[in-house]
Amino acid sequence: MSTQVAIEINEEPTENGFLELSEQELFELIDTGAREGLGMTGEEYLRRLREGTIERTGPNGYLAHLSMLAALLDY
Amino acid sequence: MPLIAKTPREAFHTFQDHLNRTLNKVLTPSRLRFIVRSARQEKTSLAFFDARSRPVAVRLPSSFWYLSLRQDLQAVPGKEGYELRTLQYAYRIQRTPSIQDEAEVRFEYVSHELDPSARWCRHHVQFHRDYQNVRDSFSPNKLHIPTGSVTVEDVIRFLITDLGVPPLIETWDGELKKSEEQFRVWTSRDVPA
Repeated sequence: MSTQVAIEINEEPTENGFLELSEQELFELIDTGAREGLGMTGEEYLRRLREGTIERTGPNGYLAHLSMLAALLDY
Repeated sequence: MPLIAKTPREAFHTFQDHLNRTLNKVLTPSRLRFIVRSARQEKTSLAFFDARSRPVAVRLPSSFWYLSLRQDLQAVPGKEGYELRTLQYAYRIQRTPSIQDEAEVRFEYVSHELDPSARWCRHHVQFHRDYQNVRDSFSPNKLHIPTGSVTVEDVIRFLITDLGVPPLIETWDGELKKSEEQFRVWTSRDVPA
């Protein structure tokens, strides 16, 4: 079990319910998520996704999270 | 009539506002947020994020359950404007806030567009590994047990009626029906009553 802390999101409705990221920022978010959630670099994750050797979903929720971020980069 | 918007962002906002309104009225004060790529804004990912943009499962009030919702959407140009398509969803009900931890139950969908080679049922449900091999050769955390298309309202209803999560309002059932009806109108799909 991880030690990640629960963070409640209690924001008021705002126009900026969007987090707009550049391509580089998306790569960085994928890299951070892959390291934290799957124990690999973002580069390795994207390579394995391209090769079809890693699932898009699974027991570890980071699989779906990273898959969805990768889809924003057309992977 | 499907949800038609002038821009992808307008379509995403309309859908986001709709889901957040239902969630905040019936289940949790937490709000779903979008991540979008600035250069190409026709795709987006909707989820609960923490301050560092990490995905989280949010604790449901007066309950030990945590919920993670994730929807990947694409705005597709049509004759009258942009319409929404679901590329992928992952709804996770779990006992901890970290999505790294295995969920008790997860409802998932992966579209043909994202994974053309998948042979398993694209709409499916899977369960925690503790149920693996409880019966010989039957592992609910590996099998892609088929479902229909599962809505967020379905998940909320399951949390309240089967897992005992207290709703925020007494009229929760009516609110969910109204929310589903709006979704049905927008998508012209059948949503189980």
